[in-house]
Amino acid sequence: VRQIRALGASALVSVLLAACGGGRAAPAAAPPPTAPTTSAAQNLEATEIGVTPTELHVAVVADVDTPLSPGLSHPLVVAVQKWGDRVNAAGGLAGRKVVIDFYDSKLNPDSSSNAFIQACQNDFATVGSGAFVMLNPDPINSCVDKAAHATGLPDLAALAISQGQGAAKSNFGLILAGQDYKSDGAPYLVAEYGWDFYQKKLGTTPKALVINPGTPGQDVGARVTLQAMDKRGWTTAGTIVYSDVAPQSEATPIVNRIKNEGINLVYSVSVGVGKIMAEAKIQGVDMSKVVWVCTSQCETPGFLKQNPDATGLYVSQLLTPPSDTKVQGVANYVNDVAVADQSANGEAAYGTALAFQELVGQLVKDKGANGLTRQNLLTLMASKPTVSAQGILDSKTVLGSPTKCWVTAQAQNGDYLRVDPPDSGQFRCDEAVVVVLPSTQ
Amino acid sequence: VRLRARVGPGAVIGVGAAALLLLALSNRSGNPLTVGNALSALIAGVALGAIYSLAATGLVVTYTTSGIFNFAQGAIGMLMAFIYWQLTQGLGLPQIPALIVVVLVIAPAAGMLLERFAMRRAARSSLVVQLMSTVALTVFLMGLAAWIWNQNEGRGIPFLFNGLGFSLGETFVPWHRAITIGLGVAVAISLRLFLQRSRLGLSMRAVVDSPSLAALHGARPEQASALAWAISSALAALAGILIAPEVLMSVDGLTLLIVNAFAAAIIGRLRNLPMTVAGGLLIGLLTSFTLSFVNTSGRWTGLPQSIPTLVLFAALLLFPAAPIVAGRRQPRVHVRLPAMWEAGVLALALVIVVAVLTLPLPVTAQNFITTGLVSALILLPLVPLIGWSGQVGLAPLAFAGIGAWIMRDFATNGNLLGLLGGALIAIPFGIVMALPAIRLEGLYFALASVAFARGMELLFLPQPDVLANANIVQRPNLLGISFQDTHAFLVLALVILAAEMVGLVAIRRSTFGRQMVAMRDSPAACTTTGLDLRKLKLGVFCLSASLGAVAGGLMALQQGTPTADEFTMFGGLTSVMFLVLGGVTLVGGALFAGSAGALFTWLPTAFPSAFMTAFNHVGPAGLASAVSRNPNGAAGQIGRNLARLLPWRPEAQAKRPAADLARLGLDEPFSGPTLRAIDAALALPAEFRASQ
Repeated sequence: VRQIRALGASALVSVLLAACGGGRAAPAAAPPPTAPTTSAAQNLEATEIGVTPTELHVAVVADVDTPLSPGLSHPLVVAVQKWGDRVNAAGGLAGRKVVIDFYDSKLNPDSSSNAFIQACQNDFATVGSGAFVMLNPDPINSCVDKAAHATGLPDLAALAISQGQGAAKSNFGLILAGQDYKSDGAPYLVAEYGWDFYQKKLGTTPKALVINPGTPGQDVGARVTLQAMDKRGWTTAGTIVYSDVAPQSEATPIVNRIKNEGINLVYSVSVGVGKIMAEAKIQGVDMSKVVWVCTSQCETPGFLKQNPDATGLYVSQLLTPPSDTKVQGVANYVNDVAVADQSANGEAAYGTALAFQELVGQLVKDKGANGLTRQNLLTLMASKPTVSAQGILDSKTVLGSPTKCWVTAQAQNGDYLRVDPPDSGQFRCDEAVVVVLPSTQ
Repeated sequence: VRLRARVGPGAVIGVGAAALLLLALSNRSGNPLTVGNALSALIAGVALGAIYSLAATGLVVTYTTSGIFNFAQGAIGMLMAFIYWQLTQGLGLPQIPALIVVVLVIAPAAGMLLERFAMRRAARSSLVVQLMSTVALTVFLMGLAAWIWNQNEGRGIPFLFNGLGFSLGETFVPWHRAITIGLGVAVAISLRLFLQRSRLGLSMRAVVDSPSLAALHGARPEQASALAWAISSALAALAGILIAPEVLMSVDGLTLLIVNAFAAAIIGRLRNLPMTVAGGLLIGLLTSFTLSFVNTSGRWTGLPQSIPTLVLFAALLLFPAAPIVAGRRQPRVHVRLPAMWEAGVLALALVIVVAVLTLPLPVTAQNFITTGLVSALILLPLVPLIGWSGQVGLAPLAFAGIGAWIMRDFATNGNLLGLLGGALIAIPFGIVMALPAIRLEGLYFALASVAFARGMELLFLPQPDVLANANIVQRPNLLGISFQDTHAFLVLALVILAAEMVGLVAIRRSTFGRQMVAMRDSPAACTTTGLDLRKLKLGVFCLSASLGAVAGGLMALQQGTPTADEFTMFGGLTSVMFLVLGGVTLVGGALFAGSAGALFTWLPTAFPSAFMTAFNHVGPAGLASAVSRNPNGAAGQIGRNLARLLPWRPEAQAKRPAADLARLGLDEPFSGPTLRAIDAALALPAEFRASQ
């Protein structure tokens, strides 16, 4: 039944495939970042599990070796490893060499639990992780530190979208699930990134159709997105299922509805939007009169390679687009990671690793290089420190809290280019952009 | 079982037209019903239906000419589409020569190889072994393709003629789609003529019905079978290559599209190609009209995806009840039944040995083992259902999903009464699945169970009130023991598994158990002795559903937050594949299957290497393809070998013949080993001995 579950999660795999492929050409190398170091005079100690006088062990948990799609989240692993290489080249972190341990969660609930258990036993923290079917928070919550206190495993995840990671008390993710599992009643969170921009672009109240791939998790996301649109006063034409693996012919009736019902905004939580756009193009839809939007899973070079007709598609998300290489963190990422291993999720992992670097620097500053314990890190995280990941994130970003800043990019000439705000390194911010909707349960 | 067609083409077309009219008139979406819009939906539906028709035609041809319902038809098409991509996009070959090479050379050669090395033996096996051989082939080909072509790289095959086409009303039809429609019809007509009018076609069909009789009349069964697989593989390649530009080119997308074609094949009753094409078009039209005129928001978002499943279920219900056939030969299943005391001692030994040996293991290893035990529990209910009763129900995870739902919604504190609740709630679901079993037999029921599993996956389990909520199931505290501890939970799963295994042996030895086996071996004999097969089937399905739900509840306790993604139709199929490998007639077969699954997951983790990565992709399914080599499964073989170590078992008494002469032909088979043992006992000269 092990293979089974991985096979059974095939729909999820296909949703996430696009987020892990392709790449872009590397620009000129940016100078290495300066890593916080300690004075040679200080005696470094083994302060915590994974922290020796000479090494700092950091884990990355990701779904890589899966029967259906080998290498699914490999870009996360590579991103964290390349970050580690860069840090070590600059002298290490907290006076120690960074060692990256990779644990494969295999897109499988049990392997995910085991991966976090191993990370708890061997590493200081997990960084840049994303176990998409981690269903149980216990392995993270019940993790004990060197002093045998159940502090929990600090999990600075790139994508905390599974319920197990999202519900874990010591999880501080960058990209969060659409449901706040840590709060009573698990309310839904809808990040309305770019919605004002889209409305302004149309010059009228949008009439929106939400495209849903039909997988259970995405189904909920599509439903609450529709609720948020209704709440905003937009006209909505409902949700419609278009599976990521559906034939393009199945998109013809959807395109007919777009034409006949006056739909001017298509909001997709499915990578299938590429096929719908292709069908719309051949069915003669005036593409300039419809705003096409996709969530961040479409923002990969692989998606554009597979869907050349997706030109004009908008994506609004919390990372600086990889094309904005004037930003140091982005330039480092694009320079360090091989083209084949670049992806939006990989950039999120790299950004999380850079954020971890900032946090450790803060910890060293406050407690000294021997203050590196899980408890101290978790105490620091509880104070909601801001991070910027060398410009990959807005400087007000707090790991574990919904980010209120974003960038809108558009697919143009085979790449995603920033359109709002247009200036390099800038973010659009709005405290009210994350809408909380009560759970129906 | 070949059922006579009583529902004619007119009825199918009439029902389909009425459904389309109803959908259009309901007009629940904002899309107004006009002649233009209806025409657009019609054209879109025909284009979509042509894809399903083409895929279903391959299924029908394989079944007609080899007698095997080939789940791997989609996987073969997927592999050929990737090869076509490699030739055209990778090596720069022009489209038409590449198409010819793949469809007329590579695919037929691959089909003949598959027939020779994978399917020839399966063709002589029981239905479940046949089906699972093709499921194993599917998983193997998917793993192989995913291993060769990195799935993270975006790939696409362009439409033929660069997307040029023509307009019909307000709808543009690319030539690619027009060719797909035309080819679908042309292939169906030409294959029908070939199979019904040509000597070769008749010979191929005759071989399926009776290879020995066909051979007496001059047919060559093996060549006919190889040719059948060559033709069906070529058809799969043609379908795969024509469909590939329509979908995102991925291993799972191209492979699983075939599931939607099952309904079309069933409408054609797996032999009527024109009706199969009509069935494909009907599915396409229903999907198109639903997407055009029905608002599927909210709870019914899964409806358009479910249409092929609903059509499949409806088509199977329209079949006439299967007649009870007398004189039918069943593949021999010879399994020694353990005595109750043996079962009890073995179960106790299993609990003690595993509990003790796993105590010093790291938590991660204990987790792997627990997963294996829970997997075994999920598979165990299939032993009485498939192994003893002969009801090939392929929906084990659907019932496990019900158990998980009950735990997740009503026993979040880990109250073990939730397991009992799940077992009770699953009974009505078991009855629903038993209904088609009362009317249908063999392959048709197996497909009905697939439809049931798919329906549960798409329409029931993802509902907000079922497995889409955010509850976390806590593990229980019982008698002062916290099962939060990994080893304690392992022991809990172990005890439940051992208890179920002993309970099932007791059931097998009871009157109910004997009736189940009698029903499997000869329904006609059962009926003549006054046995009510309907009640018997209902009983078996209720038992199986309840046990499946208990396993699902335990899975919920293990995982904490089970989701609907865990209980898919395809996942269920692959789980049955492992059970058949272990031995579907033995309770030990479930244990073997669960252990094998856990082992295959643990090995690449424990010994990471390029070899293990490769093994992980193709190894398990490759091993599972051996299911046809031993109908009693690996557990049966292991049991026989172990029995030689038990002094009270006949197998351990070397001087005693393996069979009592007086029992030969009654409950002892005239098998090779038996005869050799008798030869040895009689000390016959070598020239008179049974051949080695």
